[in-house]
Amino acid sequence: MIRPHEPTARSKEAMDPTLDDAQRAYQESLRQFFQSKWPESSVRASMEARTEEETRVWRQLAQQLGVAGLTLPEEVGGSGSTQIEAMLVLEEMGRALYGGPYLATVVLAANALMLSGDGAAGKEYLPAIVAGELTATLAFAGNGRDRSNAPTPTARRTAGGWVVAGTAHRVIDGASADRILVEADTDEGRSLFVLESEDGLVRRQVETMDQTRRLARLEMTDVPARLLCAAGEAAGVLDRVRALACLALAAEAVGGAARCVQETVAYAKVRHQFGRPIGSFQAVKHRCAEMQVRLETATAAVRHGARVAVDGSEDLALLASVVKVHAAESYFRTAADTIQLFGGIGFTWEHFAHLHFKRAKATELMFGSPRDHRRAIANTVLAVRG
Amino acid sequence: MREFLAAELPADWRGVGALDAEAADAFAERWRVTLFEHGFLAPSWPSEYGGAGLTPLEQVVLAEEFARVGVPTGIQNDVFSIVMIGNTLLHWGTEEQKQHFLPRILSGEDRWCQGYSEPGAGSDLAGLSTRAELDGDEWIINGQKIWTSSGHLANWIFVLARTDPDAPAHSGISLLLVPMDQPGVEVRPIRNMSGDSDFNEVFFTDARCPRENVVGEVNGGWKVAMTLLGYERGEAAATLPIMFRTELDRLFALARENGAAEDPVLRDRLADAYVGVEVMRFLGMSSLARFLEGHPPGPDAAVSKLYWSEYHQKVTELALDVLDVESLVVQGRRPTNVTMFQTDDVGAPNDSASWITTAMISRSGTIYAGTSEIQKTIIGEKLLGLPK
Ligand SMILES: Cc1cc2nc3c(=O)[nH]c(=O)nc-3n(C[C@H](O)[C@H](O)[C@H](O)COP(=O)(O)OP(=O)(O)OC[C@H]3O[C@@H](n4cnc5c(N)ncnc54)[C@H](O)[C@@H]3O)c2cc1C
Repeated sequence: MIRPHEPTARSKEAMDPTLDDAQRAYQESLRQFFQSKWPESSVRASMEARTEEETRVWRQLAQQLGVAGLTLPEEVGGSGSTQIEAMLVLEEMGRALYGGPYLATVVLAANALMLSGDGAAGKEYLPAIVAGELTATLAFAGNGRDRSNAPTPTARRTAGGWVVAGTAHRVIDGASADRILVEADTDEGRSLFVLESEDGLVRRQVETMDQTRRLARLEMTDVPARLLCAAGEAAGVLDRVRALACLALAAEAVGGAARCVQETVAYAKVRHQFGRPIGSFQAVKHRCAEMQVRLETATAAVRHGARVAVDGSEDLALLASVVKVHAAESYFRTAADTIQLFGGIGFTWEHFAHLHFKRAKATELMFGSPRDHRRAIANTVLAVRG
Repeated sequence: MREFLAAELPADWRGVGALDAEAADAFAERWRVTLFEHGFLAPSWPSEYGGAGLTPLEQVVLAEEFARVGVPTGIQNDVFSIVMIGNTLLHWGTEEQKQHFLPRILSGEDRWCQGYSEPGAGSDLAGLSTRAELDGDEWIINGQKIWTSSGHLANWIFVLARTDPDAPAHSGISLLLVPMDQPGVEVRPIRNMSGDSDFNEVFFTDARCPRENVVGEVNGGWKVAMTLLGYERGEAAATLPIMFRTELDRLFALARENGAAEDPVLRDRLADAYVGVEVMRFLGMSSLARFLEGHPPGPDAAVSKLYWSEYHQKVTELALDVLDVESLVVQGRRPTNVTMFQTDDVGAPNDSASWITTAMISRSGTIYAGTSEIQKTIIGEKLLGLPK
């Protein structure tokens, strides 16, 4: 049907036709939760080290809103929902600049545990993760760029079982996670382990550009570990987790960008200079419009990515690269414009803009920079076909 | 739909671009008759006016299949005849106007063009100064229109004219239906930067049309004009990504053939173009979901218009860089106007002429149907609520 043009201002989320009513209600309760339980003051308080408040809020998120078990099956206490709900969680976390255990514990570790097919390990860890009692992380070999760049930790069999040695860099929540999964090379090939002891393990929290997310360096000297999946067969699992992690960062980016657009537009309506609201100046209005275009396109991309993660209808790795490049670059541009449009106040420590600016740049660079992903995309789409 | 296309197209059909320019034009005329006979020329119109009465979903499927196979949905003027004035008449026209004009549009007897822009009124359309005065049972029209696409192929023009010179800018305008085959109407071609002449100047010197040829109220034409401008094919959300993806695949093929795909910088830009066209698909799916739920396109259309037109300039600039020095020489089949004013026809050979022309044409995408600056203002004011 062809319809007339009837411009009306409206709220974007309220109109998203790709969400059903239950999903919209869930989105609303998440947003309210973060507004009341994770205001900017909590973000700032947790920027140094994990606070007690953070632990409490994470339990509430897990227990009241069920965030940790969304995509996990009922046997381990999960609710068997889909990546769509998980994506809504991430969007709201991004909006609130939440840096708690979700990304590392659920997106990385729980997904890897599930995908590894190791039922015993799953039973042991997943129920506690779902309950918000256990945190975890996964140390990819080289968090991003070409894996060969960082010497990958190695693992070998000893009489007492497997041990892992080497250094893992930039491990999300590496200093605090209760369980650490490690990607390591074995004689059989890429493998995945859970560290079973603190013996031989040195965790060093590093100073981060994006203070809303904590990273650590893990130095491992023959740390006893348990093998997940068969030795040499972790590549498929790790690739899928990496794709899910890219989609997760993209969803967070959309939430963060939405907040930037919302605040910037609101400010442009009230801040007056030369006797008029700055939003009436086209140079300002058009930057806001560009932010909105980036936001709408990135949102559409993230929502599509979540659907494909559920139904498997497209090449997930390729799609995750596309979605991440667009969402992360959009977020960064928008965060940069946010600083600009707020003027001097936008450059201050107390202002929220720099938190997004830093997080957006970190989002671009984690799990593969835009250039890395474009290289991967090119390798796929420019390959000679049939 | 697939059965229809399989039955009507030759077995070795590769898209209208595989035909040379003359054959492509001839095909478009014949194809239009086939569409007319099956009611697919105006698929959304009710059957009493010669349409197929398709549901929105069916319309989308039809448009997608056509885009994939590379056949046009009509001829050049049909965007003005069917999409713009036809739909506007369905919305605002009297029963007599519908009965009279709609069948003549579908039969091809009447071919329309759009008389909105003037030398002094482009983005600021309400600043138009073409005048129309009543003289007994006829309007007498004087003034000039410009950029009138396909005006040289049309025999009717819908004209925005000032009918009350004393009223404020927006309230003294009417939309008139004017026959062009009369002494008072003169059409002069304008050549565009690609060297083609698809748009024109149209001069009115005491031109006439019957008094009843007003759409909507006399002096109430602004509202009608806006309805017309907003007629946005819902299916564009589905077809644009297909067209632009087909085009990009062709660029990839070129880059592989001439080695540009091995250059790391070009490779990065090619991958970025892929990201761009994929994002267009995601955006299309989300607009489509809204369209199918019955939401009017509204200011959302500004987001996708801005997005695709800017994307297309970027990708065609890249194409010239992929061609490298071959861009210096125009060689091969030039795109026709058969499929649309956006990409080259499906099935077109990968010649420099194709990319050079498309790159030139792409500069107009950010100007016609509201410039990028105007789209951003619409997004800022209508979507974000920023002050004027
Ligand atoms: C290929 C093509 C086909 C066309 N076909 C038709 C047709 O069939 N019928 C028809 O009626 N018209 C047609 N047009 C005309 C088209 O609608 C106008 O060109 C368009 O509206 C811009 O008007 P203008 O050319 O007068 O530019 P102007 O309005 O003079 O704009 C010049 C520049 O100023 C900028 N500008 C203007 N106002 C503002 C503002 N308020 N804020 C910020 N920037 C501003 C514009 O964005 C642009 O960059 C066609 C144009 C093209 C290129």
